[in-house]
Amino acid sequence: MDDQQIVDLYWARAKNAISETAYKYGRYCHYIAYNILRNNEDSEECVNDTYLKAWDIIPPQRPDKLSTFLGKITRNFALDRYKYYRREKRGGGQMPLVIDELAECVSAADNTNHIIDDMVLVDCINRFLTALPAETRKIFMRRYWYFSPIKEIANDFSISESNVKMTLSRARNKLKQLLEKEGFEL
Amino acid sequence: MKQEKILNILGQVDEKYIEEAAPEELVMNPPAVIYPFRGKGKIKTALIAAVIIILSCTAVAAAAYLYQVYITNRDTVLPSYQITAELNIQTVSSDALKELSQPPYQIYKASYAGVEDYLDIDLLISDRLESMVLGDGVDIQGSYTKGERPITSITLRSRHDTGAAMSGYIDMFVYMSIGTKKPYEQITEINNPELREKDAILSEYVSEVNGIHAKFAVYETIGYASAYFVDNGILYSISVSGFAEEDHIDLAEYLKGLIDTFG
Repeated sequence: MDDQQIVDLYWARAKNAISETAYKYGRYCHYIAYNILRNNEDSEECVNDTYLKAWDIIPPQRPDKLSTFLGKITRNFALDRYKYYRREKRGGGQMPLVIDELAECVSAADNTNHIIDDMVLVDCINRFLTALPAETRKIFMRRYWYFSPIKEIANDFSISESNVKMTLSRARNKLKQLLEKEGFEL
Repeated sequence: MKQEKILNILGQVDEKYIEEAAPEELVMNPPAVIYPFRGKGKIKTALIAAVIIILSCTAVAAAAYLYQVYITNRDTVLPSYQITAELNIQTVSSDALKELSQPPYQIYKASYAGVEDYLDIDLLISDRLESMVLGDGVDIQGSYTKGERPITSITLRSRHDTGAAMSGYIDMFVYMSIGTKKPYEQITEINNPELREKDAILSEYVSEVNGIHAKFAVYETIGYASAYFVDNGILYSISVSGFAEEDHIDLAEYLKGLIDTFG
């Protein structure tokens, strides 16, 4: 069943909309949640929350790309849950590692009170991604959007883990330079 | 944390980057979700489509051009017909063009010798035609129009006695279209009963002798019948007018007999 047909099921309030979504995108959503939470039960709950969220907002929304639409919801649920567990001193997964890596892109000064225009920053990062070579961009997104482990990325792209780390390091440096050049002080 | 800010911002990046980086094996129907953005493929597809469109347009334009050439030239080559006459157009004399310059066109009638003087035409009539159909009093009528093709048609007209079979006349017209006037348009005009009397009975005849397919218009009330057919691109018109009732002659059958003599 293609995405449009599944979305039509949501619009028709057909119950099999969720089962069709789970069949097609269940593993995809679970992959995103699990990379962040590193826990099957929590990941499964995030995925179920994703289905309910999709049921609530379709309609009125009609997403063009159901995969990324669901993936974003799952990612947000998983990140929220991660923050909650961090306060409870629980959790693990790729999140601590990813956060450590991204620390390179931000300054040491504590400017958390500085108001950043998110839309402008998103546009800046989109331009950064556009400028990257395709493979570097995919590796970057696999790591910082999907939270994929370094080892898995290396396998998928048939390169060594050190090569992945080096690619990511260079991309982070470029991002940092661009953010500084654009006047973003994070 | 500031790093989390970056992560949140990353969550809002363009969906195409999310889609292209998605692990391929995770979606049950991969083509719907996880195929990477293929800019080169799209460009290639667009180029192929453009080439196909260009080739199609070229083919259509070429076909239209060839059709136009065909339409323009199909009547310009004078047919060489053995039975009736041979006509070789050379040049239109300056005198003829001068006289024909008055719009929109003029129709000239001239004798056999006269038309040669006017048109510088070498007109040959075969022996067989002379002996069978064209008798005394042959008229040659040329129609001209000012423009790129001054001569539109040449008409040979003959009238002779029907002989002992019946009183009246047999008229024969041979139309040779030289310009844009097409024989088939002439047929349409001639076979339109409204151009003559409205009581014409229209029919067709296919000769078993020579295969000529003729159309008939018989006007019983005025004792007149005509047949039209095209042979080698030349329109022939044969008509018989007489006193059918007095002579007890079937005009249509008489015409069919004449048509059978062609070939």
